[in-house]
Amino acid sequence: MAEKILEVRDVSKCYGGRGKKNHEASMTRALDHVNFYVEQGEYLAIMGPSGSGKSTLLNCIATIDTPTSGRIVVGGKDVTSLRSKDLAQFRREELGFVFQDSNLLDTLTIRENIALALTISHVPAKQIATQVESLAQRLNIETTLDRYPYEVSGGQKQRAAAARAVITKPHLMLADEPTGALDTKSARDLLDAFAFLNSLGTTILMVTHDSTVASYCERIVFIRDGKLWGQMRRGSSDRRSFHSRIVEATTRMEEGDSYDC
Amino acid sequence: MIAKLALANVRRSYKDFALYFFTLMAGVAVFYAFNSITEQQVVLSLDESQGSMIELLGVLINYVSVFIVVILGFLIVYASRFLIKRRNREFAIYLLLGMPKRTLLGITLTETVVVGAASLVAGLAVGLLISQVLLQVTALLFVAEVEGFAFFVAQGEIIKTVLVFLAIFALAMIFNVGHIMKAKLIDLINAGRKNDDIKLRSIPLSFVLFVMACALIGVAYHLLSTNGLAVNPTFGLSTALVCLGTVLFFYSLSGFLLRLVQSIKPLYFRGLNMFTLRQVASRVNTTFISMAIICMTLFLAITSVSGGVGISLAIQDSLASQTRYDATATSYYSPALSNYNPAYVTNHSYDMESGMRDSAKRLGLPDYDSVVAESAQVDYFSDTLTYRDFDEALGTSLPEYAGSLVSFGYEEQSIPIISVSQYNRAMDLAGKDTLTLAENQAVLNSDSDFTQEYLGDLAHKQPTFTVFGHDVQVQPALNTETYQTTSFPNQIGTLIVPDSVIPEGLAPVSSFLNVNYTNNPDAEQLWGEIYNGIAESTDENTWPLNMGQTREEIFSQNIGLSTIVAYLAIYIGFVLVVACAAILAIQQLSNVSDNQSRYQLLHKLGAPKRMINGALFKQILIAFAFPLLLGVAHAICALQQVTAMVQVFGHFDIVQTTAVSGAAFLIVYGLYFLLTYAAARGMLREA
Repeated sequence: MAEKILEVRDVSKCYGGRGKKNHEASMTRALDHVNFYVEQGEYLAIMGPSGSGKSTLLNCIATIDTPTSGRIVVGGKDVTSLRSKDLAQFRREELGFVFQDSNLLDTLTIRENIALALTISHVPAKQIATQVESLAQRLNIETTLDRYPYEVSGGQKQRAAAARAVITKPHLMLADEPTGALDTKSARDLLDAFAFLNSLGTTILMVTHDSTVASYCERIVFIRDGKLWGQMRRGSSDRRSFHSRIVEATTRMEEGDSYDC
Repeated sequence: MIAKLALANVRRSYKDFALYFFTLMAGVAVFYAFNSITEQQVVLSLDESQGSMIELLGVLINYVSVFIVVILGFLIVYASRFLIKRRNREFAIYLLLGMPKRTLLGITLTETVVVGAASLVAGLAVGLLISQVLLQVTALLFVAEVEGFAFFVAQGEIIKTVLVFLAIFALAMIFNVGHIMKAKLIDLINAGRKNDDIKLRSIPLSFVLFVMACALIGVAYHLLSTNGLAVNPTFGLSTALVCLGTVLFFYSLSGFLLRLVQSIKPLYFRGLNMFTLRQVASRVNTTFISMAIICMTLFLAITSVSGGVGISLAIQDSLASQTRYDATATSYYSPALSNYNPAYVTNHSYDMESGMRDSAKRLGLPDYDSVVAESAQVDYFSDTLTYRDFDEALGTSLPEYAGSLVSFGYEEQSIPIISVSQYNRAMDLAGKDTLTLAENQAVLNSDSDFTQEYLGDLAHKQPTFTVFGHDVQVQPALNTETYQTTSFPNQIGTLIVPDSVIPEGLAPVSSFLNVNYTNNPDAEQLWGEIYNGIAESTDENTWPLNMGQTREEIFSQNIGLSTIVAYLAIYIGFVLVVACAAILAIQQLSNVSDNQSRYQLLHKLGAPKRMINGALFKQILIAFAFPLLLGVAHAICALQQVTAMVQVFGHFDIVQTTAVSGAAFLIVYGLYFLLTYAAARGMLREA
C-alpha cells in the first residue's frame, strides 16, 4: 500500500455557539467527524453541493482554517498542532494552491509569478530560471512567460497558477474549483495539465461541484451536510461511464438518499 | 440615529482616522502656538526696541500664516477626501438599504464634525503647552521677566485658530458633499472591485528617462552654482530644469530601480524583492506628480529651516566677537557732512575722547568721565592703495571669490590703514593678544566672511605694497579680530602697519572710539545722552559723531532679529514637513488597503510574516526616502548659494546648521514613517 500523504482523522468544525446559553443549539456544524485519507500519487476530488462543508474542509487542510477537533496529518506532520510561525514554512514546503480565480499577481509577469513560490523559499536565482523554464514548457505556457496576467487567456492563467503550485515540489497540491471561471476548452486543457502533473507524481486534491471535472479524477469523496456521504473509484471504467456514475450518485445524494454504491 | 452611526463609524475605523486626527492636531497646535507669539508682549516686560521686534515678528507671522493656512487647507481637504473614498462600499450598503442621500450626508458631516472638534480641542490644548515653552524661550532670549506666574493664554489667537480651522473643515465638507452627491450607486458598489489602471511602461525607456532626469538636475545644479542666486534668465532656466528633472526623476525612478535590480538576478529573485519593486512600479502613474511636489516642498522646507536657523546662529555666533566694548562711536572727517568743523577737530588734534569730553561740557550733558572708564581710539588713514592693487598682487579678482555681491567699481575703493599701536591698544582693552610688527612688515585684517578667503589667499602670497612711501610686506597669516562694537562684521579689509609708516601729523579719514563704562549703574543711559546730545547738536563747536552703537543695543536688536528669523523658519518648515509626511502616509496606507488581497496571497503561498512585513517596510521606505534624498540634494546645492548671501550676517556654518535642522526634520518625518508602517501592518493583520 502506498504511503498516506494526507490523513483526516475525525475532523469537526463548529461555528458560533461561544456563548454559554444554548451552547449546543446555537452551534453550526460545518464538518461532522470527517475521516479519510489520500495516498501518495493519488488524484482525488471532493464533491458536494454548496454548503456541504467541502470548502471548509479544504481550508482546514490548507492550514488557512483550523478544525475545532480532530487531526489533519500531511506528510507525517500533524498540522493542527503547528504553531503559526511554522505554518508559513509548512505551506511553503508541503502545499501548493490553485484557486478559482487564478490569483496571480497582476503586477508581475507570468515568469515572476511562478518564480515567486521559489523566491519565498530562497532558492538560488540560477535554479529558479531553469526550473521555471522547463515546467512552463511542459505545461505549454512557455510563450506567455514574459507577459502580464492581463495579457493572457484564463486557461493560461490557471496553468500558470498550477505551475506556481507545483514548482516547489509539494507533497500535496490543493485546487479549489480550479475550472470555475473557465470555458469548456480551457477547462479541458487545465484538467489535462493536472493529469499530466499527476502522472509525474504530484498528489492532487481538488474540490469541485462539477461532475465533468470530477470525472477526470481517480477517486471521488462525496460530502453532504458536513458528513462524509460516500466515495467512488474510477477503476477500469472509461471517463464517460465514470461520469454517468458520478451524475447518478450526485443526484441521489442531493435527493437525500443514503449512500449505497 | 445619525449621530449614533457616525460615532460608531469613527470608533470602528479609528485607525484610519488616527493619522488624520494626529495631523489635524499638529496643524492646530503649531498654528496657535506661533500665532500666540504676537500676544506675548502682554505678559513680558520688554523694553521699547524688544517690543517693536516682537511686533514685527507678529506682523511677519500673520503674513506667513496665510501661506500656512493654504497648505493646511489643501492637506485637510486631501486627507478627508481619502477617508471618504475608502468608504465607498460602506456608503453603497447604506444606499442599497434605502437610506436617502441626505441622511448619508448627515452621517459624514457628523463624523467630520466629531473628528474636527476633537482634534481642534486636543490641538489647542497641545498648542497652549507649546506656547508656554515659546514664551519662556522668548523671555530667555530677551532676558525679560514673565510678569506674574500665570498660564499664558492668547484669547484672540484661540478665536482666530478656531475660525480658521472651522473654515477649512467647511471647505473639506463641501468637497465631500460634492463627492457623495455625484456618486452613482453602481460605481460605489464596484469601487472595491475596480482594478487599478495598470499601465506598465517600457522599462528600458524608464532607464533612459532616469539618466536624462539626473542629467537635467546636474545641469541645473551647475547653472545655479556658476550663476548664483541673481535673478536673471539663467536662474529661471535652472529653476525650470530642476523642476522638470525632478518630475522626470520620479516618473522614471521605479522603472529604473526595477531595471537595475532585475539585472542583478540573485537580488531580484530573492524573497519578495520582485514583488516590492513591481508594487512600487505599479503605483507610479498615480504618484509621480505628488512625489515630485513633495520633494520640492521638502526642499523648500529644508532650505528655509537651514537658512533661517543658519542666519540666526551666524548672528549669535558673531555677536560675542563684535561686542567687545561697551560702546563704539564713529566720526567721519568729511567736509561734505554738515556737522564737521575742521577747525574744532584740529584743535583737539583728532582726539575723540578730548573732543567728546569738551563737547559734553559745552552742551551741558552728563560728565563724560563719570561714564567712561577707559577707551581706545582707532584711526583710519588712506593712501593710494586700492583693491586694484590687491587684485593685481593676487592675479585674480574679488568677484571671483565673493561673486555677484561685490559692488561695481570696487577696484577704486581705497584700503583703510591703521597703526599697530592703536590696534594693540584696542586689543588690550578687549583683553586680546597684541601684534608685534618689524619696520617693513604689515598685517591684513578682515572680520567678514565676505572677504576672508580672498584676503587670506592674498596674505599667503606675502605681497609687498608701498604705503606712504614705505615698502611693507604683508605677513602670511590673515588677522580676523574685530576692533570695534558693531551690529554686523564690517571690517572687510584693513592694513595694519608699523607706526613709523604713517607720516607725523597726517589727518585720518575717520576714527572709532571704543569705550568701556565706569561701574555707574546708569552708564548705558548716560552714554546714550552724551552720544545723542553731541551727535544731534547743531552747535559748530562740537565733535562730529556719525555712528554709535552700544553692546546692549546690539544684543537686543540681534537677538530680536535672530529670534524672528529662527521662529519663522521653524514655523514654515514644520508645517511643510508635516504636510508632506501626512500626504505620503495617506498615499501609502491607501495603497496597502487597496492591495490587501495581494498580501493575503503572499500569506497563502507561505511567505512568513516577517518577510511580508519586510516587503511592506521597503515599499514605504522607498516612498518616504526618495523625495527626502532628492530634496536634501537640491537643498545642499541651493544652500551653497544661500551661504554666500548670508555671509553678510556673519559666519555661516552650513554643516552644523544642516545637521541641526536635518535632525529636527528627521524626527517629525521619521515619526510619520513609523506611524505609517505600524498602521499598514495593522491593516494586514486585521485582514
